[in-house]
Amino acid sequence: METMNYIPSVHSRENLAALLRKAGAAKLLLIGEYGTLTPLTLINEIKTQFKGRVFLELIAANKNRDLITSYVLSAASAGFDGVVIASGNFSASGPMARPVYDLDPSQMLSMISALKKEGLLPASFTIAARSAVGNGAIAARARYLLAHGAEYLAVSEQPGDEFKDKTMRIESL
Amino acid sequence: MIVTRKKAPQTIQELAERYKKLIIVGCSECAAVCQTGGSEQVKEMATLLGNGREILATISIESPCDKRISARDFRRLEKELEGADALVALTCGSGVQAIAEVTGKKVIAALDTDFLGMVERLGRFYERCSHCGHCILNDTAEICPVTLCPRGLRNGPCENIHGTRCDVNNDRDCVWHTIYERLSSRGEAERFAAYHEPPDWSTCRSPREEIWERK
Ligand code: SF4
Ligand code: SF4
Repeated sequence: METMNYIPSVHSRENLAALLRKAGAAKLLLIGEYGTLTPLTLINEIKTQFKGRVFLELIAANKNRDLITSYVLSAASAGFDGVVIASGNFSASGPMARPVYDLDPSQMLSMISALKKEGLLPASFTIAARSAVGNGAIAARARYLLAHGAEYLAVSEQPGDEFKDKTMRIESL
Repeated sequence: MIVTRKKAPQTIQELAERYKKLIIVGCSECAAVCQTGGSEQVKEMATLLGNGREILATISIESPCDKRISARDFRRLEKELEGADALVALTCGSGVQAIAEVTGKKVIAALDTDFLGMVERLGRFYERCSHCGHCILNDTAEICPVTLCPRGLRNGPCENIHGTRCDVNNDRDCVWHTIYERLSSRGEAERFAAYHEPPDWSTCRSPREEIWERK
């Protein structure tokens, strides 16, 4: 099972440099969108300082479908090697903001898989989806995601045997 | 039923400050059940605003949001309407606008309109439908995730579910857990994998209208 080293937020270029030093020889970085600097503006610096693959954690929260399309196409063209689809933290932008969920993760998956099928994303661009670990509804949704275009599940706990081969483990840096 | 809440008396006083002759309008349907616009609340409003102003009339309309009914009932108050500086409506927002359109008068909205509520009993109102225009209840064991999931997700639980609990409302089960359990208990677990497209906002953007073609 591959490990993703997770950077949920980047607040300055100095902050990024320090995090990348910490990542050291890691093979795969997952960059989240919770910082003041958007990952799309950081990929060049990340790629010059980090030799492994870099995935964008693409959250549904507070983006509509047009923006999500734009983000994923920009991420691929800027050099990200893949995305991890997630619903995202609730109202991360502050208590007064109206939370926006135009698409849910399954709908994002459908849209991004279609972009890949149409050749608008490189064939090598990996599509993964965050998942909880558990039985019942959680396992049923995890099966759905894998059956509908997610190459991997990205999880932060030990996954069950059924999903082990199709799982990437998220670990905070 | 439309669930409404009273605005603060101070707010109403401020809104009515410039108007000396008022008519108070209640709703004997939803707002009466919510005890925000029934005959008692109409009386209270008349007392609140009566000091230093003239209350020309009070009226409770069966469905003030229905322009036909409002127009019919206001016909009885033609003289008072003529003399009124403003009307104070203890109705939902739809009612306020219907009354303004029917009377052509300034209408003060005395209530805040909250949601379309399921009534358990008096004082127990629950939001169960956000009138999304693309109903998926047939796949979700008659439980609406669009309304009951704080993220409004139409396709299964998010990654933040903690066991069976919702990460946002962590005193409640995740609605998708509840849906899964109910579907499974009916032997319909396969419905859990039904895919629901995102709503097409070209057909459900505001303001929505339903106009019947004449036959
Ligand atoms: S899916 Fe939910 S919000 Fe949409 S119409 Fe049905 S009950 Fe209402
Ligand atoms: S845990 Fe369940 S109810 Fe809560 S936001 Fe996620 S999907 Fe919705």
